[in-house]
Amino acid sequence: MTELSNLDVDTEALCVRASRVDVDGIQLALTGSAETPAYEALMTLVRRLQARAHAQRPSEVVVDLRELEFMNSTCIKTFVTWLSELRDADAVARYPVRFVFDPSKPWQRRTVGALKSFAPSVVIVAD
Amino acid sequence: MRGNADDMLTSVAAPRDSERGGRDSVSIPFSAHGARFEIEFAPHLGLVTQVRQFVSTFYVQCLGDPEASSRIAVAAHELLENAVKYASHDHARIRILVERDQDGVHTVTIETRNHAAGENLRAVREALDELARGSDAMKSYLQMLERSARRTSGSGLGLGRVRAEADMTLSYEIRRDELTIRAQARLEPGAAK
Repeated sequence: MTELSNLDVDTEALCVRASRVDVDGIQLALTGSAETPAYEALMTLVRRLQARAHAQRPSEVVVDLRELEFMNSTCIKTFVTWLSELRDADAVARYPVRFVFDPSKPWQRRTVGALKSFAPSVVIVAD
Repeated sequence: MRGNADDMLTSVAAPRDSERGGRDSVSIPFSAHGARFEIEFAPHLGLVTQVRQFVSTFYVQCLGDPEASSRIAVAAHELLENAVKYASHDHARIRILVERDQDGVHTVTIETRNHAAGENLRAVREALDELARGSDAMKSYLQMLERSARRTSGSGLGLGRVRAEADMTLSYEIRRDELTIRAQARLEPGAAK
């Protein structure tokens, strides 16, 4: 058990591993496929992440999608909910969310691009 | 699964390439009849994933274009998942057709057909009519994202994603309780081989 293990997700098709980056950043590495059966687990992750960030704001959260085969619109909603809350929060409560994607997976570029357009003040995109 | 001989050949070859992560894939000759497949099924979510994986591999081999194949796979997944979620009978259908005209332009058509309850038919009609009124696909999708953040059930994003991210036009027909949704896109010459 690590201090971030309550942010891990293990479903049949989706695995999320949380780890520290730098001193006070958090990385979420997604593996597998994020589809409807993983929705509740992802929403729980977002709620826990927000609670943790409320207590101690991270310098950034990195969402690494490179090993993710696919994400459906149901699971995109979990990120939209999270980014919406973050975007609309007071400046002192905000933190950047950096999406890392695989350029060889075209859907990742388009989905991350839409999330960047949705919440440009908090989303950073990297490949 | 129904299709022409090329389709059936590909359906056997596809899993092996899928297991290799799509690398070193073998190009599938493009039939003069196009590349199509159709399945009729009892709605089940597990099928959605299997169809998307097959479609992704099949069309990247047919078209030699990962970008186009990805668009088709995203659209097939979202449309099929809607058909499964909202089917009121134990029968639905998806048909995917890629045709090539004499100028080398490919047209992709994805069509789902299922029976649905009245409230779901109304919701689909409203969503598709709204998308049709919006001339800017991404602007309409961003509005859907805003609403989705406040929704307590469902994402309401699937159709908007097909239009904005898969870059496909959408149309529909409703006959009694039978819903047909059709997504179409033209692939520019040179984008596919």
